[in-house]
Amino acid sequence: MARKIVITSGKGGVGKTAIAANLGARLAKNGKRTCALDADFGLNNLDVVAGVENLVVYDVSDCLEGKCRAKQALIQSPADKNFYVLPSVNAFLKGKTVPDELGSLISGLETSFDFVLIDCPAGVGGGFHTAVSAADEALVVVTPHISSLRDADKVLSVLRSYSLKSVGIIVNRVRGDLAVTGDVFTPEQIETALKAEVVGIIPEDDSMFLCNAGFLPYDAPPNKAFKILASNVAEGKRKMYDYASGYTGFFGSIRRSIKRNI
Amino acid sequence: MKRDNVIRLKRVIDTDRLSLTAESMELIVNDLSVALSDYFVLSEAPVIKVSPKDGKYEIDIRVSAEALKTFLPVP
Repeated sequence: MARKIVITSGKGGVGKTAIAANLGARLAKNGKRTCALDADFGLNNLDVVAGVENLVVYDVSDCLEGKCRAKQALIQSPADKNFYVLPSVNAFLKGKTVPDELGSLISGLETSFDFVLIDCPAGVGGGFHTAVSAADEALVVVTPHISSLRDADKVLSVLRSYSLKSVGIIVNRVRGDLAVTGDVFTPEQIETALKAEVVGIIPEDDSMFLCNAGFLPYDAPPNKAFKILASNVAEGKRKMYDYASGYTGFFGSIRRSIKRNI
Repeated sequence: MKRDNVIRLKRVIDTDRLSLTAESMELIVNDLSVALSDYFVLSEAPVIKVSPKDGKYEIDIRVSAEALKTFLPVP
């Protein structure tokens, strides 16, 4: 049976979709059959981030309307044979709300996958509740900014009212150079403020914008970070990406200085 | 993060977590007045201050009474 994990956040634009797609691709590369489902019906982008927008025939709304079976709408990602995407391309035209039947649809996928990642809409509206109701676990994506953390705290308080097996935080867009100088919140400070466990740290890097999910360059920092995150999620480990690496000491101060002046 | 911003975040989150609306506070004051009026002649309505402290809440209740009511506990 699949582990159903909702990827959520309070604030929009923190990287939920990118994390759902890249985490899905990484889990798949580790041999786990993974499905990433786009439940962000209003502002769907999972198909684009995963680089499968040209392969869409059916989508989630077609499944929910009975026009096709879920397996017909699944798209195998070019990144890995174990990674599938269930997009919601046409959902916006048919209504922005996430229907309650989504839970049944996800349950139907349980036997075919090891992981079902649900890309949730931002905020705590109806779509959020439907997506969370269909999940067993939650990952809350935050960035190291007060507005994101404030909204995440509200989402975490709502998530506590659900009987989820686990709720973790993924800190996205961490800039090591600013974190070591104390100019942005560190993941440790975020963990303390939100009173929830950080399960992953993703560094800010251009490759996240330039590459489709599953195609991050081997030496790109986010590639290593997703590798660690996938291991933490799949095996319950708590190893963290070293965001401060290269930014401490004498040479680190030079590197910070160069990065600030670019 | 610079200390003042950490304090700022803590203040913002603590304020949000304290989700007592003015109406909720009025309800608590009314209930407290009714309960305390069984034992005291209150000279004014209770004043309640709820503030987050170390992950918990500190509740200060300030009230003054003109007299104590005479009552005997049921034997």
